[in-house]
Amino acid sequence: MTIFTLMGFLATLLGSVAIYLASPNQRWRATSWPAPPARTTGVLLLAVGLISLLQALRPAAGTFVFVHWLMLLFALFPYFGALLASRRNTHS
Amino acid sequence: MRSEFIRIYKSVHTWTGIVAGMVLFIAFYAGAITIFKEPLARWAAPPSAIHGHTHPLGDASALIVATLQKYPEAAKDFRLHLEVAEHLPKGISWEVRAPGADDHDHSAVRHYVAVLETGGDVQVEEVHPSGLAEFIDTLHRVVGLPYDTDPNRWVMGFVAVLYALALVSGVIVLLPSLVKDFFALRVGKNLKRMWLDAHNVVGIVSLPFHVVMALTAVVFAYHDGFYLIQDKFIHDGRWGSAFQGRANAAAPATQRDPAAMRSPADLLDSVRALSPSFEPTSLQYLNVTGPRAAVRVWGHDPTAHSPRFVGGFVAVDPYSGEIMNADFLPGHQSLSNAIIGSFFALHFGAYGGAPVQWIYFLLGLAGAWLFYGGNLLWLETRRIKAARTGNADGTPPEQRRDVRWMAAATVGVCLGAVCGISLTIVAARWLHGRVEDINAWHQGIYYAVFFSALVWAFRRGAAQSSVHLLRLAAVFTFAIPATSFLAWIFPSLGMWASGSAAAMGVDGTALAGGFCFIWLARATNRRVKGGPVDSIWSIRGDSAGGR
Repeated sequence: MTIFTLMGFLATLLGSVAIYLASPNQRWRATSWPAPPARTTGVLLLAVGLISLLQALRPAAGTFVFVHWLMLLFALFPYFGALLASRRNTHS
Repeated sequence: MRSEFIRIYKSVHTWTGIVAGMVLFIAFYAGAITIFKEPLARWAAPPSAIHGHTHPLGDASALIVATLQKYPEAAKDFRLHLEVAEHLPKGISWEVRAPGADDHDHSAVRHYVAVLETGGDVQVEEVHPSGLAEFIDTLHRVVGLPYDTDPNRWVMGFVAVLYALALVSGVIVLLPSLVKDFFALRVGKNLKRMWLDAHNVVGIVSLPFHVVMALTAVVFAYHDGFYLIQDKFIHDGRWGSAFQGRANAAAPATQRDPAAMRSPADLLDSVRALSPSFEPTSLQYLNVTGPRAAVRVWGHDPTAHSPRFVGGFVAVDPYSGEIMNADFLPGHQSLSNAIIGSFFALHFGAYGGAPVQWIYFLLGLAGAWLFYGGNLLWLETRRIKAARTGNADGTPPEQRRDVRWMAAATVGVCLGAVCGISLTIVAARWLHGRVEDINAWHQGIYYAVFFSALVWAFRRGAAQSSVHLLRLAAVFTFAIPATSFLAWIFPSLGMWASGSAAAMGVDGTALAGGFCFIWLARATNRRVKGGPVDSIWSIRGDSAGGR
């Protein structure tokens, strides 16, 4: 794995976390992050992620990797949120 | 959008989903495992003198010439592997297909390997590679049916059409609340809301993945029909003869001498000159003594998408070393070929290497959950609650028979497939050398477990059987790494433990899977014993529901 690929995966992960935490439906924290700055940061990080992947891979492959990684993260985050929320409820 | 339209689409979504959901679960669960087809084949491959060893590339030309002198029938299609792995033979290998057998029917194929002995003689041996990975792939390709034949693919195509309809109608139903409920997964007392959120989160977020899967599956099922229609209406029935004509025009009269072929190293140099980032894995020689001799150099380009599951290839003239065709060479395709190839790559996850394989594995499991969760939602929606219709003596209301049957079928089919796949994997090592036709045993074990689970689910009800079958799935899945461990500490058992990262990765993944099933069994057990009594998922509700 090249440094650009690694950077692409990491930046996309951080960007998607920022976007998820800006959502009113997030369940990781008690309150959501302020939406405008968090979403802007998230989108910028996603752009960095995509550009990094396109440095390491050809355009089609880079875009496919980016989209599928994003889909997986966005599908998993709400489940982690539900797990965290149910743990919090159990402890409280 | 008018509410009556939403209701219509909701009905379409519900009924297409409920008809196709269970078999799609099998297709996705088996498909997720098939992403790691090669590691699984390596895990199942027994140690042998022929497999898992390297053959000097410098000797390959001599081996090819000597083999074709002795076995001229191999000239039609044989392969030289460049990689070393437990399931790959050294030397050259070829297959002989039974006359009239379907192209995808792997049970109708006999496998031969030729190696060069020290004295320069050729030794040819029939080998029996494990059909385990191929069988699980078949379950994936034909939605749980045993053989990949035309009629079974048409069934799969019909399921894929229903799947596509379910996707479109599901998105339309969700549109009014899409933005408001995005990322929402509300866990609470409202179970219907929870299952709906759990279903929607996966469905909407991974929609592009599912759209590609549905559309490509339809094409895989009916491509022969599509070609026929194209031939009739676009090519006036002359499509086949056009290729035939070209072949005849180029055909020299005499048979060609394989000894005059360029060496494999020369052919690889030609390919490297064309694409330095291409990593060859095997050379497939086609009709080398005939007029249209060609060598397909198969491999991967880590920076590009591949047009096939096993990679892409470039066709080289074995006698001149000239490139004949680069239409399937990753990263060097024309725009139209690259677009068509991208659909294959998107279905197979044939790009981006191991990280993408893991992403596809998890998205495949999430897809299986999408269908399982859809059925849970259907059941929860039809639940008869005690608050409304509770009996005067305090006993919970009887749930509808169709709901109880659907719950039992969902549990039996889905968990039966999971248990069956795990046990048939385990059997690859326990039964090797002990039974005559292990590939038939793989099928037999899978379907015996699958139908037993189904019968058990109907006999004991969804609530009890779901806990039993999840525990069984955990036991069978833990048995995969346990088999490797036993083989390692007790060599007298006659099994083997492979030390390759790929095979150990299968053990590690199965270990993690076993813990997941344990966790699910515990959670389900809690619900069965302590959940709402007016539910088919309660032991008390189960008994009250009557069977």
